[in-house]
Amino acid sequence: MSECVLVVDDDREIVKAIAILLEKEGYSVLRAYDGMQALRVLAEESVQLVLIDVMMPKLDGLSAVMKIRERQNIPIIVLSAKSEETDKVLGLSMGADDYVSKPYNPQELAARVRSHLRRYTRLGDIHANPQSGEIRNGRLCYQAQERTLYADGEPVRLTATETKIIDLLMRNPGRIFPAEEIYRRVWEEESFAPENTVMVHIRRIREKIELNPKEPEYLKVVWGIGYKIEKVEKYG
Amino acid sequence: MVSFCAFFLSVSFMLGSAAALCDRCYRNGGTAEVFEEDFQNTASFRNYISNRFFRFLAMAEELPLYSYDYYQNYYDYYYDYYGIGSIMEQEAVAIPGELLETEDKEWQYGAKYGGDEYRKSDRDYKKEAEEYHKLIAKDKNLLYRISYEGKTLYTNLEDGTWNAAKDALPDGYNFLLYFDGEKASVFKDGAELDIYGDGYYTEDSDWFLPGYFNFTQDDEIKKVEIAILAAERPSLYSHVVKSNRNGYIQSESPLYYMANAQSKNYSAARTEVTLLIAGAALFVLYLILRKSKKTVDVWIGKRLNKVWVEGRLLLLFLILSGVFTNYFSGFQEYYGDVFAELVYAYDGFEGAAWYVGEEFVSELMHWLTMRPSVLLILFWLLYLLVVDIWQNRGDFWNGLVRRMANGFETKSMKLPLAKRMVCRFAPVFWSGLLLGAAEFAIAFLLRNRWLAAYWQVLLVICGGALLAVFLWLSWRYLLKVREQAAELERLTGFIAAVHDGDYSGAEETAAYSEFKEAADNLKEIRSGMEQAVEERMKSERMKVELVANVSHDIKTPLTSIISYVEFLKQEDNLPQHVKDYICILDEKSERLKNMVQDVFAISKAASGQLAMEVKELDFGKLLRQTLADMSERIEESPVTIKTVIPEEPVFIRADGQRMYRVFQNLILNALKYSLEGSRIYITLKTDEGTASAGIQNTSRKELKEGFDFTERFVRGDESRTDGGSGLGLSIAKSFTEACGGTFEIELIADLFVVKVSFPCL
Repeated sequence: MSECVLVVDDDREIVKAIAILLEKEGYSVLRAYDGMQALRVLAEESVQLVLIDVMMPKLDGLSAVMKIRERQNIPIIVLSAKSEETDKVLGLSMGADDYVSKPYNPQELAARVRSHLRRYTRLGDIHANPQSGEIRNGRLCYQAQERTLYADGEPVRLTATETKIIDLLMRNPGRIFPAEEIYRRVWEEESFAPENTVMVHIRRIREKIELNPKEPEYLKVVWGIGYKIEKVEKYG
Repeated sequence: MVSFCAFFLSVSFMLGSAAALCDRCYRNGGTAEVFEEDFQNTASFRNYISNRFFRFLAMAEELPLYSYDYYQNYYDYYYDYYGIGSIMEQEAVAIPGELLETEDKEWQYGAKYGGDEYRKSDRDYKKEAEEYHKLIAKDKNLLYRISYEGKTLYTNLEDGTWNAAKDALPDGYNFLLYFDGEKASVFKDGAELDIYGDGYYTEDSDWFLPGYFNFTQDDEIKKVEIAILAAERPSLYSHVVKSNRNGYIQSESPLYYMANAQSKNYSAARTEVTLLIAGAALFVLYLILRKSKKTVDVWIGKRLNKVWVEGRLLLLFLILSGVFTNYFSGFQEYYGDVFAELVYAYDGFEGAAWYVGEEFVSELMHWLTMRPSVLLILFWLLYLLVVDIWQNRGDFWNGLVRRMANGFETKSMKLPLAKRMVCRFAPVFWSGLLLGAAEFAIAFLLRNRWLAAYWQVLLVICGGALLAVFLWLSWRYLLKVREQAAELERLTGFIAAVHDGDYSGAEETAAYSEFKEAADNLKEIRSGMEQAVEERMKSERMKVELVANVSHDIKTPLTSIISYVEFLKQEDNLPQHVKDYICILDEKSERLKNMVQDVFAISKAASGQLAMEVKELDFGKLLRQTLADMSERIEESPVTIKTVIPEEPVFIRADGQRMYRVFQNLILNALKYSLEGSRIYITLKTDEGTASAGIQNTSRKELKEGFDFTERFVRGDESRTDGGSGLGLSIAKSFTEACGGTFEIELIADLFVVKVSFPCL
């Protein structure tokens, strides 16, 4: 049985476009065109994930999210034309799990839906009981003993150097490492201009772990200082 | 240098020799006397001969050699004291005019008004004459023969050497005065001189001898015959006789001294004239080269300016006082106590002061010509003073006092306004006080001097009262100034607050009495500005809201467009031209998306509503990271990037994410518009606390001069159809400025240079 996704937007064309996108990915899609309708659908059907727009007639998206959260614990992705940080923070604090701004990138949206659904349907219990030697950070999970990184429960294939970098960064989430230090600790030698070398590897890791490598959520550059793995509180 | 030497020497020569020459002429009674080589042609000689002649006349007639009167007693004193021979004759050389003239006058007096009186005197004139003859006979420079009634009385001529006027003179003698009882004839070098002229004696006549029409003579003189012979080159004779009155008397040779003095005078005068001419020649040289003298003047000026004005004035004072101390001791010796006379003149006779003053000036001038060195010192001092004043125009008073005053001024500038204003008034007050004290001191010191006591008391009382009034007024004024200054300070504080953007503060208008109107006006300006600023903020906010709403309204349909274009792209069985259309749609929708996002970002940044996360960061690292981040695109591009970024950290405060965006835009821009195969230079420099990053590339297209590339939607290449919004530079500029940096674009021909600067930490 395929997972069921509820898409809520007052713009029918957008709903239809998302539906086409997700159906191609193999999900079944339910549609709603305002907040009230969405709540009704949720009450009647079994839904695994909600994609909801903020600005809608009758009941707006954020209010709807709050209502949904009163009863259900399914992942909710907020979809909004407002792209500002404050809007994102507001959406997430209302109980949303993720925030995608319009105009969205179809591939990214699909990847996010996939990520959330996998973690919701398959990994929910694992998150409840963390094992020893496991460092969790949002979608990512690093098994220190195995030196293996999991993204959404799937192991990520990393090269030896990439593993060393991830080992260093995942053990110290939130801490900023200058390129010189990364180079020294990973390559174990001094370098004259490590920035390019480090950056190449960072970019490759991003391709493997980020949903949208162009707008990374985890492996970030702190401009003018160094690199870090962002400590993500959500998904927990 | 040469011209200055010429100037110095010429002025020194001319001034010195002219002064010496003037003095020489003054002392010797005229230019003619000084420039006469032959002493026999001088007035001194003529006077001497006349004098001798009249004395011989007296000897022949057994008259007194000197008259009895005031002057006679005076000379007798000298006669007794020094002996007539030496003193009288020597004085005749030293000060020829004065002494002999008086004596001549006396004689004339005696001759005119009854010379008989003297004959009755109890003195033994014959003996005196014999004594005198004995004294001077040995001086062979002057030969004489005195005859009375054809009988020779006294002579020092050796027998047979010379007899009559027509005879040739003995060897070594070239001057003859022969008096036959009526007239005198003078022969010099065998030729007779015309001594009487038109026959009347005037002051200008050369010879003072009997025989003029306007001289009356008694019959006695007709019995006398006198011949006087003078040597051409006198030698020194010295003869001592025993006088019955005065012990030993020495007689010396007046003519020898006279000739000597004259030849010295003559050669000295010649030297002085030579110097004068040399000076004039040098002066001409200086006039030719006068332009290069300026450099020396400038040099002197610079040297002098190094010394503080106090030092210069002190030096001037010392030199002058040195000169004047010397001067006054000399002057007093020469002229007597001029000042005593001056004071006496003021005390005594009106009008005498003018006379004394005039005389004083002429004496001073004369005294100065006698001392060319003093004259030169004074002249060169004056010259230095003039050079100093001229070369150091405006900076002449550079010195300790001025520095202290300047220091005080700068120090007082640091004080608050009110204190400064009061301080500035203080000198007036203190000088008033000082002036008053000085007045009392002077009154005290000069008591009993000029005025009667009660006038003095009145003066002191009046002065004191005036001073008291002045002090009281200035004290009142000072209080007022202080009050005003305090008010002014409050007012300036108020202005400063407005300047700093404080539009709120409610201030007590009542306090401003003098500046009430200004304060009120300022208050109005303040509230007006407050309103204006508020309105502007409001309109900015509205603008951003509008842009936000519009961009939101655009984004919704854009989402659909992008979504469906995506689906279209995934369709396989489409004809090629439709695929091309889809490609265009994809491109344009992508651009529209970027544009909407950028417009929104810019409007927020421009209105200062952009959320900033300003942190301390390494500017160099930021650039290196940005370059590393973009390395793929850089490698793909047909240009190379050269970087000059220092290894050591350059810390600035900025929002790293925004600055990354800035440099990303700038580098992308450079990659996009650079000439193929050219180089992009990225540099980071720190200079005087400013770190500036420069990005410099050679444009592929010709750059339009005076074109604002930071204008929104401006694109270097109008026909480009990539995803750029045309807002890259505009965003770069507004983000940089939002972070507190400066953003500059410079066009040098085809070079496009962007400079992003931040203050260093």
